[in-house]
Amino acid sequence: MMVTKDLKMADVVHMNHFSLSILDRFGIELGFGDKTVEETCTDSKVDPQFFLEIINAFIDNDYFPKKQLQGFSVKLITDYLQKTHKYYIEIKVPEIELLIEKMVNTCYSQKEVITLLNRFFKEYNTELRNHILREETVVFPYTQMIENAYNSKKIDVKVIKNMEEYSIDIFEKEHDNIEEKLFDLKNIIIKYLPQPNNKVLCHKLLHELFSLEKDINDHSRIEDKVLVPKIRAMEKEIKLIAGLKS
Amino acid sequence: MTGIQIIISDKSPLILRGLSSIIEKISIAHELHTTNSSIELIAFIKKIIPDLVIVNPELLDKNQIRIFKEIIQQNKIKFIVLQPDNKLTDYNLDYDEIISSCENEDQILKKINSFIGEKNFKKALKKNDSISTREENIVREIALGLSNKEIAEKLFISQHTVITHRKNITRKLGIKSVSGLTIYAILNKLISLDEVK
Repeated sequence: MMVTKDLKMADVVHMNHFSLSILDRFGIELGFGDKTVEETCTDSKVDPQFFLEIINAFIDNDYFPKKQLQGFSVKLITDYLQKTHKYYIEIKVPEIELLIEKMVNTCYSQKEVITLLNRFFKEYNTELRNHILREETVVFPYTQMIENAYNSKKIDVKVIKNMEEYSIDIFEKEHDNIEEKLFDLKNIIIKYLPQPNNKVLCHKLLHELFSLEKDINDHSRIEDKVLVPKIRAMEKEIKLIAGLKS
Repeated sequence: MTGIQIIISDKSPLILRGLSSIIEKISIAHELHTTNSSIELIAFIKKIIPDLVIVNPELLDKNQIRIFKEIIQQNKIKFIVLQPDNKLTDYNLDYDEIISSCENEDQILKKINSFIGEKNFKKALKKNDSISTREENIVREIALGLSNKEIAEKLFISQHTVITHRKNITRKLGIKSVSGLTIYAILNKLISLDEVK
């Protein structure tokens, strides 16, 4: 079922509780009574249309309103992406680390193996942080510069120089597959790891890994299918105005 | 990367949705991808190399048909033509089967089952044999941190062979990264914990 602006926000959470993390990202807090999606969004100063597209894309994998999403400003999109970064680094990753640490501390039969998992995830964490850092210090500022230049039609030497040094194509090329290691970790636990004595923790961990993977997939989809094509079109236009060969 | 990979492509969302809901009934683990854009379709088959594609050729222009043909032939992908009506247009394409929109559910399921049933059987046969001793040796070297080139030199094989082995290992184990393979190697006692730096 699609979420619409007149639906009650409480029903959205009932429909799919994973949407809680999205609400949180938008700064929408629980306790919305019988308010609709639109009302809750307005209260929290969130663009209801943007919220709707994001939440529907998240809930239903088949729904991906590329065109609509590309209509939103770069700032709105990258702000959202940054919020998801923050959610991974500040909430999800520490949660998973804590679970693995608990597993190390409570297992008596095969500490070595669980310690390996711990190391593997630490590596992943570093990788994820580097990935995020690169996006926030290089990619997002670049996309913002492009949008500003595009909107103001003021294309100065600095813009041209930046565009010569970097382009969204470079980002697309170097945009590595950050879900790969998560996929491996899941498979190792599901297929190869001898069951540790604490099964409850192990299942919880798997559950968290699946949910993080889903979230990251959703995130990359917005980057690759919305941000990249949007910026590419703007780059082209700017080059045209500046009289450069594209 | 789990189960049989199927791609459906047509302009009409009605047909995409309808066909998806029918295919979802097959009892074989599968992953369904739908698209209504020809560019996406081509990018898709290049990227995931599906087992089965169900495509309405009207979607593709001449050039795309040529690329499409090449890819499915190269990778031996099963190809079912999706016909919007009963008339048969010649697209100059080699297809394995036709599904037309006036067929009923059973007929469609039967056709699809006959393809992936066969595919799945072959896959199961392949998957059953776990990785070979040769592949185990290679996992060991990867876990020790050797590059493809170094492995090739050490085992007196070409780099190309090493890459093929790696692909097979990844397919069989479902593990892609080096650190993932390292854990596998330790779990299966191919190397000891002390050997890993």
